[in-house]
Amino acid sequence: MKFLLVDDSRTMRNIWKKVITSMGDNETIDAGDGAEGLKVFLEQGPFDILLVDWNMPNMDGLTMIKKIREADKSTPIIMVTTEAEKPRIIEAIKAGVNNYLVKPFSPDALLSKIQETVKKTEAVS
Amino acid sequence: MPVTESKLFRIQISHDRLTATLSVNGDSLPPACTAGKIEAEIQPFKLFLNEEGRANIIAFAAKLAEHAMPQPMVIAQGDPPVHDENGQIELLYKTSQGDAATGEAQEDSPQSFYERSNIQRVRAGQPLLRLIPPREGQDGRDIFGKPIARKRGRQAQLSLGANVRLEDDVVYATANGKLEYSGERVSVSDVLEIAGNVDFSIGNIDFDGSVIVARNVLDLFKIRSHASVTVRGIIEAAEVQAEGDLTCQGGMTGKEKGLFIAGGTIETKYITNATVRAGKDVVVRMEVVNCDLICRGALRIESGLLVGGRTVATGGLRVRTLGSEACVNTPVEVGIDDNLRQTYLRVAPEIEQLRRKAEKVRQIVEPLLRNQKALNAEQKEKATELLYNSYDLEDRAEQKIEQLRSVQEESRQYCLEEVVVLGEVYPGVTFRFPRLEGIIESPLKGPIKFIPRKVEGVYQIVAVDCLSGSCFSIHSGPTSDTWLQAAEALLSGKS
Repeated sequence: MKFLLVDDSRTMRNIWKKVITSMGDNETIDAGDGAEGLKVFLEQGPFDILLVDWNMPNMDGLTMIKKIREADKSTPIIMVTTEAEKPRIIEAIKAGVNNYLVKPFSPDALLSKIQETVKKTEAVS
Repeated sequence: MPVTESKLFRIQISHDRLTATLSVNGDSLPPACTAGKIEAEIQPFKLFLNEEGRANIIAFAAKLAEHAMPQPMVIAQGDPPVHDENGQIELLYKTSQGDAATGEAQEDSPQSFYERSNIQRVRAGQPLLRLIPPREGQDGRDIFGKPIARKRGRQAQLSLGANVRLEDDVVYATANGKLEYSGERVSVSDVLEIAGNVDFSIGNIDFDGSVIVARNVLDLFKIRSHASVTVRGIIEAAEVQAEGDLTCQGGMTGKEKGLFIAGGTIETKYITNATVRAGKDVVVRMEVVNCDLICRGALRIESGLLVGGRTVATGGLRVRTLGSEACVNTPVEVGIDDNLRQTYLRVAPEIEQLRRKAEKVRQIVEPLLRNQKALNAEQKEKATELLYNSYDLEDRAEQKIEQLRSVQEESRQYCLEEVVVLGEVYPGVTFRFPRLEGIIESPLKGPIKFIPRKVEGVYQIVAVDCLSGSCFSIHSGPTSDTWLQAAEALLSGKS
């Protein structure tokens, strides 16, 4: 599978990468903010899954997701963020997020979130 | 020198027909004549006159005009041929002493005389020689203007032997090995045969293929082979390492410095005062004395003696005489895989350290996880990192346990907890099995087999008479070396 990882923290992106590579032979491409993430999505897509942080410089994750959803409704997106308030989660889901993971999280939690999202996507298609 | 004469003049022609010299015919001075007349006089000889020749004829005529006898003058000169140069062979490899083609010494050439090997090792794909085609010369021209043919150059003669190929006039090695180049034939051999001793005339050997030494390996020399090593004579206090088998038809006299290592089997007549490591069996015809010997297979000295030193034979021991009448301390470990032991001793502290670190990180992160609502975004990010770190440390510890587990599984196929003594076994001999150790307190006659066995609910070392089948326990108890139990606990998750 091909993953796009968008987070301004390199450490966080590396953690995601390690979890994703532990799942199998997956390809990952990462971006450091929403603007870069959008550019990579448009230029190097299609992707099988997107992991996106909310709070980032230049363009936040929510804006990026809204822009992506204008052109692409189907690529599954998991928002991985420190924003844990219910209204924020609802806002993200309305913007087109498929799944939501609140930081701090364990590697196992991320893994099961990804697997859950993949399973849901397969069931829909 | 051929001479051609006219009435007045004579022309002397050199043997190589490259020079024609004009002189007066006879002793008397001929009548004065012009250069034109002289040219007309010698015209029948059809000489090829150039500017310089004509100038000399004018000078010759001028002398005659002065009524003086002119000296012989060169009036025609040919061009000698330039012969082709024969084809050559350029050496493209470097010797251990330096560049083979130029003879220039290598700056980093080894200073130790032991390291000055004369064996030319090459690698597959390495360019060895370049065939340089003959260089063309030029045909000459004689004084009559006729061509003089030059000698044609010959192509360099080179026949190709094993493990080489020719491409675009360059000879390449197609296998790793020893370069054999005689000037007319080139090949690469994957077997290195040393006709005499391994000594200063040969130097240390590090070879990809098999090594065969016709005589002895002398003190302090080293042989390394990625295949097998065969020594027809003896090996002294040398270091011999073979990834395959090591066979020494003489014996191995280690003198406390000898190191003999084989990935496969070691086979020899005797081994004394040496360190010996074998990935498979060690088979000795006469004796093993005062050796630090570890083999992953069996140690077999069926017609000889094992005494002194330290022996670990994972695949069991079969020997005629074990120990000596002098009660020399002869510890023997069987059924114990030293590779497993070394792996455990290396990874156990690493695992312990990783787990301790993981625990420390967990202690930091757990209070944070309990109070997630009180954390700001940065703290949440940090908590995720810490959480990941603790998982990662545990994961690394788990990988090391898996590494140990795979060595344990591999070692199961080698282990045989059995000592067979065909002749005599003497006090001073101690046995160590994976869980038991015991001592021989009085001499015993063979054939006798020592094995661990449960007697009345207790594990003991039992001596079984191979002829009668009768058996008795020897003085034995649980081993003081408890690494195996600790390793098993680690692998079963009990520690």
